[in-house]
Amino acid sequence: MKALTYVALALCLGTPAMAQTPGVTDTEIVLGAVLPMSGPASFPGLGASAGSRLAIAEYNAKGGIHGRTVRMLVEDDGYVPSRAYQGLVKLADDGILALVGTSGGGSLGAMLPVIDEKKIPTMVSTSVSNAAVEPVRPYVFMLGADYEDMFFAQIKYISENDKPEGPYAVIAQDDDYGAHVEAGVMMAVEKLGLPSVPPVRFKRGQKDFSAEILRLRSQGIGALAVGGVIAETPGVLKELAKLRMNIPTAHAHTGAIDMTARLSAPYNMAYYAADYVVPIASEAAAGFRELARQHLGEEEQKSLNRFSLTGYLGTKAVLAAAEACGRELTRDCLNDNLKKIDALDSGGLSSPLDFTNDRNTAAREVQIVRVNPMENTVEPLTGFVSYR
Amino acid sequence: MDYFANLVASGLIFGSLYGLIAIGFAVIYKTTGVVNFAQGEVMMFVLYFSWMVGTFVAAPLWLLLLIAIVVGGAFGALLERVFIRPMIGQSQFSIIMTTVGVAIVLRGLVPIFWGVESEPIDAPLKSQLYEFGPVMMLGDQIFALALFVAISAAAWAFFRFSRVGVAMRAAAHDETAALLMGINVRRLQGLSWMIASAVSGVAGVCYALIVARAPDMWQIGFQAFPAAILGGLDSPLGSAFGAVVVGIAASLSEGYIGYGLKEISGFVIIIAVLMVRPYGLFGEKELERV
Repeated sequence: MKALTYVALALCLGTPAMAQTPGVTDTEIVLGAVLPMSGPASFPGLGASAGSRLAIAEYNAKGGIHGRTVRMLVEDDGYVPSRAYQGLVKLADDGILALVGTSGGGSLGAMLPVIDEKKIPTMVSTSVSNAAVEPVRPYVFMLGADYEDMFFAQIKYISENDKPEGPYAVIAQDDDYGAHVEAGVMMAVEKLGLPSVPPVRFKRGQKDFSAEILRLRSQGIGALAVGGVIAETPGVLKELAKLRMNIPTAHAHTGAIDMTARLSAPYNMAYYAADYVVPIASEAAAGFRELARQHLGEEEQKSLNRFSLTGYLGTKAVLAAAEACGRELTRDCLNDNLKKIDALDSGGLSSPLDFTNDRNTAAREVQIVRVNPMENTVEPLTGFVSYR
Repeated sequence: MDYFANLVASGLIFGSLYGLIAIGFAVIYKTTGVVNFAQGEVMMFVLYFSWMVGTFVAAPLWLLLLIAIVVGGAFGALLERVFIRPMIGQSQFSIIMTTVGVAIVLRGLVPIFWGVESEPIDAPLKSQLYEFGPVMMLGDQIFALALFVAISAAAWAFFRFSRVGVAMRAAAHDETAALLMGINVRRLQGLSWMIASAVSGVAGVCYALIVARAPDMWQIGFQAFPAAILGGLDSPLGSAFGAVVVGIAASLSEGYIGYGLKEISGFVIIIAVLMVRPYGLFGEKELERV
């Protein structure tokens, strides 16, 4: 009995750091993610989860991180903020080293109080959110360009290449995201001295844009920025095609995903989109797809999309920082090493990752692409350019 | 004038989608006194199931429509037999809550069986442009509008002239008297669910054609229900008319006034009409509203 007590005591004393760091044992590192894994909005969650699992599988295939195997716990929030909060509380109770999946902006907002209270190292990679980095927290890092930059870049590109005769217009959904899109377009209009018409807003989830586009046609617009997510792109293109308005249009990164292109194909209109990662079907992502073929199951491979790239890069950054800590892995060490990442190779999937800036945000550079839905192609038009 | 005409045409198109769902609401209510809050979800489920069958047999659009009508009818009969008929004699509230439960279950089943990705219907008429004077319309929009007009007319003629339709009206008016006259009221009630679901199937095909097949398409039921109230929940033709009014009002308000009013203009009209005619534009006065 006495011997047993000594053994137990020795075990406790021998591993003080591991006992104190949630999600870290002698043999394992546990990461967490709260993502929409079910319901109509599960598309980004399934993709991001597959990307994170790929990064983890890649590390585990090389023997893990200093002998520790990495695994990930995923909580499904169904894109509902209250469920995201509950999911993160559960993950925190289960014990995770860091959070690598943070669902949408609303869900992240609901989770931030828990992240702040428990100081959970967090990588925001699913969707860009100002709330994550305003104020900057030493334990919250983000991946991705601002929506303002994405639309500023496209308006600039259109003004230099298409040179439309009519004024510039923006139609954006009536939420935080739409406000950022609108701000980006207005910033471009102002800085570049372009003519414009007043912004038009629509209810999130709206399917019919006929009246809005008729109104914009009556104002003689020459270019249009569309601040919708997926269904809004084909919805607007349909009305433009109907009214024979063959004008350049700018869209968010979701404009370049396969589903949006497929829905837009009947309207025979190519359009622009901007993103901070390469198109997943592009040559630049060939290595990523091959890696996925090696490490992911058939179902996970089917769910790959552009959110898989962001999930992969975000998780890879966290694992690289963990690796730099050696065996003495703590949350503080992880945060310190994340902050030191200044040129992590993204494998050409984005610009090299650099978190050393004043917003703890990497991959802020934007690439403009031309989406041709009729041929299902996404052609990069620029490299990754900073608009800061 | 061009602008006004195009706005009205645009309102008509989405109004016709609301109208097809609203007819479904009215047919069931008129015959059974039940408000089926799962009407939008039934539309979605029937469309997804029909799409699956249609894909299997590589169905062209007309065949997909036919499949949707058959699947819709069968699904309506199933719903009535399994969920509604056992509830006869229970309070209206319980029956309505059953339909709410069915709605939530259907919403959950669709992503499980068919995934979350939206899909377009691949039909050549989607990109065919037609001009009627100053008004421009796409082929799929004309298709939906034509079906709406045909179904509205058929619904009116059915309730006005057919023996079954008249029997349905009689059963709705006085169930006991209808039973004494030898009318099989239960069968009629089952038939009303079949008709409403079949019409929902048509609505689903039209919606998928104009917008896309998507797991959130049930939400159109939210717009269709107030339209049915406006026209009169016990009047299929009135409900269809109410939907057109809501669609056109939304389009004109967005076109002439702007953001915000598109969503509420229809409801402003509904409030105004219900204050004067609490039973809707074409509803019967003695209705008890739920």
